[in-house]
Amino acid sequence: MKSRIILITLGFISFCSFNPPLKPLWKHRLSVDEPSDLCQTSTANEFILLADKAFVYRMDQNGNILSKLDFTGYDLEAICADDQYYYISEETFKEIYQIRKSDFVLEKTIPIQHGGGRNEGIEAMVYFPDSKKFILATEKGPQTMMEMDQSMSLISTFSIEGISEVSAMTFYKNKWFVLSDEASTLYEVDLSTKKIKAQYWLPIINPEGISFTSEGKLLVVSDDMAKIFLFEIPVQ
Amino acid sequence: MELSGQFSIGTGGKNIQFSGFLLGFYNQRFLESGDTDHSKNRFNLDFGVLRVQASNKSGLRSELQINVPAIYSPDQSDEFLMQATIDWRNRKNNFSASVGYDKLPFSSASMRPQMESAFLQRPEVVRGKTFNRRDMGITLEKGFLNRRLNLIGGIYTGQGIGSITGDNDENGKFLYVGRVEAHYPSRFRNEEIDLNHSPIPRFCIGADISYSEKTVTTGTDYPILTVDGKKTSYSADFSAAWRGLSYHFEWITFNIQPNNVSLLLGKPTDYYRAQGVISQLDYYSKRLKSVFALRYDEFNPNDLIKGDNRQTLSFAYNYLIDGLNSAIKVHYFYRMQANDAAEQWAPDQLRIGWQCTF
Repeated sequence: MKSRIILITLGFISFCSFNPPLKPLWKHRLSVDEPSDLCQTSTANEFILLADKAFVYRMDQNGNILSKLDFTGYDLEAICADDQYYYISEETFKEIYQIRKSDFVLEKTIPIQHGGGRNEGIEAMVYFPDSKKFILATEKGPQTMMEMDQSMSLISTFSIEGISEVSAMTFYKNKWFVLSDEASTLYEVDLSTKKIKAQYWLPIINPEGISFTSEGKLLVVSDDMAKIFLFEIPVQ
Repeated sequence: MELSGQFSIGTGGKNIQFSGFLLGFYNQRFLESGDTDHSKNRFNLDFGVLRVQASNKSGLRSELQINVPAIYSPDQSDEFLMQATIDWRNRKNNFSASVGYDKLPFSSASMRPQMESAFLQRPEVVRGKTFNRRDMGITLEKGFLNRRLNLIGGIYTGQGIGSITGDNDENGKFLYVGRVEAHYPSRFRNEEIDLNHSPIPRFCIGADISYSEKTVTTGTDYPILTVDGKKTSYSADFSAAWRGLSYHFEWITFNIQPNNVSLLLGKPTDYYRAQGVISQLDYYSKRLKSVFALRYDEFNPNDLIKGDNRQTLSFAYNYLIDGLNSAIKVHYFYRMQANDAAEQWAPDQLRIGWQCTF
């Protein structure tokens, strides 16, 4: 009887176990709450951080807040950049703010046609400089990827098999990375086939934003934990 | 957590969202030999809820939630109006003030949406028979440390459904509720099932208090919904989640100081106590798209009466077709017999339901 209980317990533990998560090189508490996304600026190792639900900050690669920018939204969820502008998603009201990189002034507001719930607007954005296209992603229910041209006109929609929820995206050294906060997983997705090439489990609750440092390390911010983590992505 | 399946319309500065959910079930009671009342063997619609939520860029939100089947229910605890609130949140989202009719910030198990539970019925102590789960009033909430520490307080008419349009009790006194909760390492969103398979353990502890002084006693099953006298309620809860496994414990007690001393059964005291305990364990398997849950709950409606302890062991199985947006739920109630009780307090029961959001 005793050995049967031990066997059942071991079976249950192994049933609950998964591949080990990536280990962070370091993690720090942020001095702002609810970080929702981050994006590399034109300056090395300087980032734009969306946090406190409605506010925008400049941050260094160690998570130190350098300044608060003079821009306020309502429910800022995602940020990406092309050569001239930052693009910030206002999730609830389904708008994209196009903001000049040079002086961080709002150039225009672009409405996005999407009929999902107020927490199901644009959750993640990424810009591909070679093709000069954006991909905008809804979070879930269902998760939808929207391919947009440089003027934010819709070209096509698609989904990625195996990814049912998205919280952030980034493009680094010709690699497209997609983050899922509910799965606590970072996916590398093939740009042409739109298939998952690799995936990494992160020991983070509610990871909401990703970017890479100039040294090629991955920065991840967690909304619920209000922390920033640094990871080394294993070479595939 | 907010169930998906909503649709919204926006005008730039304003947004309105429409959603709803349905939950129907079949209920079977397993009667003792000799019992002839089979009326509880039936199909029922538990929820047919329509929900409208509006928000604007100044931080104002309003919400109306109605449960249509409750119109036909003779049971007062089945509420047609589930929520009608206007609330304002600051930009940092760490302070809110809410006015209207809504759930009271008392008891974590009561505040959790039923659709997000593995079970098809709440434990006896929090299913609306022991305190008015909803009321009309003002609720303030302040979060600290990225909302890992939350203080919630409110003042309410204290008449439950009667507060919506009716008068207060003739003494005009209110119901006061306060709750404090602490979370580690991140805020718990009061979810029962760890659907996200939290990669690191999460914990939450909470404590509540409520106080009312009324002149009328109400309550169909237990005469403590409102009390002619003083009613002071306390609860404490603990929750944890890790890798699909989640645990919840809650202790709730109601101290009743009745004006009618005959309710004290001649005992040398000026109060009696009703109290309950909930302890439950859930496991969500992503691979099997299934939730397995076990719950023990007990409720003693009057500590002056020996043997009146209502204990239930519940088993639940959920098959998540599309997460909780479409799920088949099975809930078996095994009624236990208290030590000093002459018989089992209620028959065993099986409930099988299907819930769907839209």
